[in-house]
Amino acid sequence: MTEATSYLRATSVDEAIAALASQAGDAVIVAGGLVVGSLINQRLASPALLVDITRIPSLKKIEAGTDGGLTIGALTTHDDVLRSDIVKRTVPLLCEIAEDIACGRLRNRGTLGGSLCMMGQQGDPATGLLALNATIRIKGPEGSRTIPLEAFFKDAFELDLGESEILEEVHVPAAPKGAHWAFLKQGPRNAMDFTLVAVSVVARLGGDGRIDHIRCGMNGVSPTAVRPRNAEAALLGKSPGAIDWNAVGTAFDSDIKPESDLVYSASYKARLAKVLLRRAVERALAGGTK
Amino acid sequence: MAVEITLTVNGKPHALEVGSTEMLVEVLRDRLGLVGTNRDCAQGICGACTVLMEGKPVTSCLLLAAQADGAKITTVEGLETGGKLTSLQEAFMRHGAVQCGFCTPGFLMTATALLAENPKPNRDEIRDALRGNICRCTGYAKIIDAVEDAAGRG
Repeated sequence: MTEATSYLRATSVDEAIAALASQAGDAVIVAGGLVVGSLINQRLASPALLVDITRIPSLKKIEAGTDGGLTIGALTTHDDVLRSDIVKRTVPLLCEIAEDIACGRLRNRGTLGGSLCMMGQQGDPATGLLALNATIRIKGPEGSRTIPLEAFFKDAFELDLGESEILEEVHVPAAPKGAHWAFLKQGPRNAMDFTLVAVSVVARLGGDGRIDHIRCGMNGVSPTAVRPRNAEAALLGKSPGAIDWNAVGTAFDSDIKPESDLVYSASYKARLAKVLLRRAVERALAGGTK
Repeated sequence: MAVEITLTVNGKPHALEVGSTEMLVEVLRDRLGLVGTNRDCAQGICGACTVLMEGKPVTSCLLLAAQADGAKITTVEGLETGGKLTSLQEAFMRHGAVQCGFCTPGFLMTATALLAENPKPNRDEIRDALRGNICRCTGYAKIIDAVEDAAGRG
């Protein structure tokens, strides 16, 4: 396999795109290498070409936007996010999520782009970015396009990402003024296991004391990271003391249907998801995690 | 495909030709003979292969050697100077923080990075920093004791 696989250290996004295009679907992007390395070690991947994008400086950045939001390059590591004063100031939810990702040695290599492009189950940052209404910029042979992150996650093992396209950066708009946030997750061992269920909530109470903004992101309950839209709708307009959690749960069940896996049953995951969602919403409405 | 790289390992420069899918841990062990770094799960779970790259702990079983081109790497063999162990290594011995020893190099590298960044960590900070290293002998209490002791004497 060592013989068969070529390696290219790209120095620009365009060079990487051209290399991907030249291999017609048999090239793999490698950044932090946590997923690709694991697949290679398990003999589950033997691409014709590995395109190493870690030496492309334009992909590694954290910039405050003029709109009060934030632009984060795909190569930014979870450790970079965790240590960033800009992120802490503008979207602290992302710092809180990063703090609980795996362990130091994995945060030092794992990238935001990699965690969003993971097939099967996206990482925890996806939940926060969905709740924050993030968009992503993707570049390919035909140029750049910007789409909502929500549209990126199409189905199990299916991203809205062409074979020759690269996720360049994530844009996080400023959260609605006065909104609070919370993040909760549950898994076997945080340091090395995939999260079982995680939830991020961004919520705000209006002047009349009712929820006038609520957006949630979850993973582990659906083939991709997802927004529990019906549960959000059931919460909108309610005052915190008058939320009918049974009704929210019924709404949740109507569009989110976790699947059983080798360890956890669908009903357990759904119950866990609803408990975490309730706690996260209550925490956000009480002023957030801090 | 062969890829030419240079590495500085424990202060010593190396020019190497590595395979495109060869991991750093394989280069350290099989080419440079630095067998202190252990390869176990090969999936990033156990932490036995932890080395420092530019001073930060990384998982050398998941790091393509080609990606480490030009990097400064420190392995467990690089901790001692002139036969003198670090205070952390001495503390591991004093506290019996080594049972079968397989995980020890990974724990030492993770703890070395912790103490470099935070010389006086409290017990919770130590526990948190070490959470990505597994000891299957389950000797965690003594390992945490040793790091705490080394921090106190550092």
